Amino acid sequence: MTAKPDPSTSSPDRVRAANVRTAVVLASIAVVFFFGIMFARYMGDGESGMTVLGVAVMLFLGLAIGRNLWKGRRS
Amino acid sequence: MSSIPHDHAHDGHGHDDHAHHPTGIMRWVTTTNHKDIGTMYLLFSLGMFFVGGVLALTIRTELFQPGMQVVHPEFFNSLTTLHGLIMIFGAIMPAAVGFANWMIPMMIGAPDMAFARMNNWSFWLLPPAAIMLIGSFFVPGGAAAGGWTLYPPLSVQAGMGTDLTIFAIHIMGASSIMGSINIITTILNMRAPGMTLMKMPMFVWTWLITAYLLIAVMPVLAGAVTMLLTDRHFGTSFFNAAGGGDPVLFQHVFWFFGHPEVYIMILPSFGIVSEIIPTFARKPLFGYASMVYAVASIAILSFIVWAHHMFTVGLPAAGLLFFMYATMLIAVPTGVKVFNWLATMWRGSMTFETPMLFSVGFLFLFTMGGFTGLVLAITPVDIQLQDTYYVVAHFHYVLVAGSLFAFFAGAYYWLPKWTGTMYDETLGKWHFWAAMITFNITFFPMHFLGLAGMPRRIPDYAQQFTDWNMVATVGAFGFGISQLIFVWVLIKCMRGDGAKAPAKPWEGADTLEWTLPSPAPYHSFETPPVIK
Repeated sequence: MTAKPDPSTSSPDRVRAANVRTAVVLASIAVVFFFGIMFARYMGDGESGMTVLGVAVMLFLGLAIGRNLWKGRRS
Repeated sequence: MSSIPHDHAHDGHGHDDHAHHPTGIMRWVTTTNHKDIGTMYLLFSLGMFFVGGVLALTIRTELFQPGMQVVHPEFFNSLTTLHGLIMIFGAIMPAAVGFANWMIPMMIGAPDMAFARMNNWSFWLLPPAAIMLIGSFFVPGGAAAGGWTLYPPLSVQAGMGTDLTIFAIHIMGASSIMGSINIITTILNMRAPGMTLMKMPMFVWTWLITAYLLIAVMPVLAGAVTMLLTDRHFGTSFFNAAGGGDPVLFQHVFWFFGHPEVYIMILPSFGIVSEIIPTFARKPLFGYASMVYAVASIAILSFIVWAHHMFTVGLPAAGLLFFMYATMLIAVPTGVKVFNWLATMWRGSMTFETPMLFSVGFLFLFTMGGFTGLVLAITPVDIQLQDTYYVVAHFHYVLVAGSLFAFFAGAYYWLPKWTGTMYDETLGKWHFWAAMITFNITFFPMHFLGLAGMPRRIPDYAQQFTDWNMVATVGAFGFGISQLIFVWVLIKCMRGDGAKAPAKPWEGADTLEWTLPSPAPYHSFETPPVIK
């Protein structure tokens, strides 16, 4: 692997925004798992865990698709 | 991200350019530099390694002879519990994060970690957690004594030490999650131009997958211990049989965290060894892509094998069979990795400097630990060996000779880059051979003890087990003393007592960190390199 300096860097603002997006997605996974396991055990039935995960995935997809649609309209 | 506008990396005095930063203790308290934070993680883990080691030596002193010699039985239980917790959460995991902090930005050509302030916070959460954990020895009722697994009902009934342990786990878990978010974000978003995912060094790959594992399972552990806390103090009955709860449920939730945790501790070690073996064999890593897929397979499989820790709780036969075969399946990607490391060495121009010695030692001993793991995967055998010293031998071969030996290998490999000074090769080899021999004297006899039926976590034992226990105790003290050689090597390097290290001290090394001078400048790759 060879390396030489390249002055063409990506915009720091774009990198920072991408970093924040990635971090929010990852943190939301942690939050869902933390509260999800307790909710599922509190409800005490086998379906609760699947419901938590299912709702989380649907919410995530809804947000991601909605954000793309919204950005598409603005541009 | 760093706001320094130009690259100091190649101007020959880049490492002096942090004069505008706080000095003394405030440099370390306020630092957002990945190298400083990596150093703090590594020194913290070394300190905790010695604290956990002292607890281990106290355990071994008590077990030198049958009968009660040195400590009370309750205190013995606290020793085994805290030894496990401190070594896992205080020594092994922070050491792995230390390596990640130091090496990942330099290996992918990034100026720093993605969230530098959060990185500082991740580290500084650890000392208070460690103080809580160690301080729990001094509260009424003593430290947690139900084993590092914190099984109810013992952990529901125990004293205040268990509360402190639960809080410490919460804090360390938060630190791990923040660290993982930082590592994943850095790897995904801040690689140098041209560094595609399949060009990343194996160490970076193993950490990317480890970080995903951490984000998936640490919240589950945090949830489990939170439920334990509410059972203890807020009248819930998640695991309290008296209120209609189920103690076995805790075991399921705990081991859903606990088994991936084993791979969280070992995958970064795989990454380190995958960097070192090609360097000293002077050949590219054999089967790079298959290594990546093997690591990913191990990580995925680690989620479906948790109940092999619970073969004796009364699972249905279908469950026993499923978890037995799923566990055996992990041997396939692990075998791929071992085969690839051997194939990398095959017909290579090998030399055996200390990092390579520790890597080969890792390969040999970890494979032995893997084989005994396969033995334990077989349900009827495990039912016989459950909670015996055979299990203790197995996981120490995996975690000490696996994780720890790989971390030593990594430390010797990158010490010249970290300190700018070559380590003392003679002392390094003494360290390796002393550790290798005494490790086996300590833990190999435990296989015999376990097969003969000696139970773990018991301070007294039948006289028939005396001889091998004496051997193990002598070995344990030898292993502990041999680590002082490493401290000596480390101090010599940090004081600059040795030959000056060139930018690339190992001729076979070809990853990006070796393009930087030694010691690595305070700010590196502010102008991203281009990877061809």
